[in-house]
Amino acid sequence: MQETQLESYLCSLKSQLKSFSPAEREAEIREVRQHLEALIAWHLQQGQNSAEATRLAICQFGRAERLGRDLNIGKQQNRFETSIRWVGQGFLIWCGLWLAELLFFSSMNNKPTDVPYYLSDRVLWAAVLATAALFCGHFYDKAMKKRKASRVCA
Amino acid sequence: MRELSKGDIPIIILEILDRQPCHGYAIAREIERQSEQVLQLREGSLYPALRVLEKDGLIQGDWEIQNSGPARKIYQLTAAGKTELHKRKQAWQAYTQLISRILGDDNARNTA
Repeated sequence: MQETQLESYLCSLKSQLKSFSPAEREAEIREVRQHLEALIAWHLQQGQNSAEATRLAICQFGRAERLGRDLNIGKQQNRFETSIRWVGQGFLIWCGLWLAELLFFSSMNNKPTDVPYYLSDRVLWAAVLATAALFCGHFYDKAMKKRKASRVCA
Repeated sequence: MRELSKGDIPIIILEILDRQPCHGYAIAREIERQSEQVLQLREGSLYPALRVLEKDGLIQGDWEIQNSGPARKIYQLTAAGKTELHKRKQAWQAYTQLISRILGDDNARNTA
């Protein structure tokens, strides 16, 4: 009975962790299982029977759907921030390559006019986009914190 | 018993980990013990908070082999976590002092 209740809880939680990689999901479930088993052991020490101890432990831990949702939210924010940073870094590399090319042509011919006039514009735009993308993650993070704080106040 | 607000969990975790490295279950018990069983939390809510603190580099969790039983994930405060805890404690103290002053004035007005 205890096993079935616990396994069904963990199974339900596992199915919620969609944003996690299999290894991360396993680690998360392993940690939650250890916590729940410790809680069950404590309730058993208090004189509860096995089924009641498991029920109380799960109740104390909170609903699997809610926990899964909260864990997923954190993970999805991580992914968004990471992808934004990747885009920013990509733009920066592009910008660096354009600059290198510009300098290369300038040094080769010693005639800056040989370089297409739009190159400098592209470099400038790449730099602006890279900076915007890199800062976007920071401002997104700030906005999320502000939103959370206003929720707490409400 | 009083339910611990979700927003207050991170600073409490940081404070507990500043005293000693702990695993999730021990953090929950420490909150109960230090609040003399007054504060209670939905224990599952510890884990999303732990993940955020880990992501921000304020704590570090490592699976450690125990003398008895299976490996457990033990969390400890990082240097950045110590600095952040100091900042958050100062902000919290300033906030509670402000509220106390307002409530104090209110009490004084009522008694006058």
